[in-house]
Amino acid sequence: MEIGCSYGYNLAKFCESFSCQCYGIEPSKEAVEDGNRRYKDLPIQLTQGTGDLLPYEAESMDVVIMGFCMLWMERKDILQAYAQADRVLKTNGIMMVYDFDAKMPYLRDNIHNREVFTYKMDYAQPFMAFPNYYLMDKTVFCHMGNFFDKRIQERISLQILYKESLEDAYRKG
Amino acid sequence: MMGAKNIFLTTEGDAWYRRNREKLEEESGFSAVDLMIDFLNRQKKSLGGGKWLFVG
Repeated sequence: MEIGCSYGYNLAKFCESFSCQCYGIEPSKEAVEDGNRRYKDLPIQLTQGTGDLLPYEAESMDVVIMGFCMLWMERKDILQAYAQADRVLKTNGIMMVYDFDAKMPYLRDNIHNREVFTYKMDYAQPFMAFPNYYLMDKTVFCHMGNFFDKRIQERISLQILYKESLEDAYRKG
Repeated sequence: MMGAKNIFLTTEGDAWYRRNREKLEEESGFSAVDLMIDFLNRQKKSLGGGKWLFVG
């Protein structure tokens, strides 16, 4: 399941590789309609919505992808979005966090809409504050390709987190 | 203020999609989703092809 999936091009690649059922949530009605039309022969179901209210059952997803979506989210909604992503991900599932890899938070204006801002920060960090999320892998690259960028604001990372069972994550005693 | 969420659900979501649609379609080379798929395939091998997630 991908949050902010656009027309579902990432999900289509997942389908091709694993023949799995995919779900996507995306605020653009046009993108959702395009994707559902374009991939009508694949098991992909796109729905219009936002990450703070996911229309899926608890513990229903093997993999959740957050790719370049959290940076657009209003700060008042962001903790709700984390709670929702955690809610739908199965125990022993994988959280994929793909976004700018900012060492410190940045706020940027949006040239297209003065009421919308983007926020750069490490979006895997809130999960990592809890012992039931374990960092399995991190790859740092940039928009130009799979290499490191010296410019601190241009770095992107894919962080792959494993969701442990609560019994494994918290020792008794 | 309408709030970013409602702006995206009404106007800006579609506007962003129209602005970026061509760029998204051109992304045929390196992409993060390829890294994700490689990673899951590696895990499948390391676990001996056993059932794990949907891979297996």
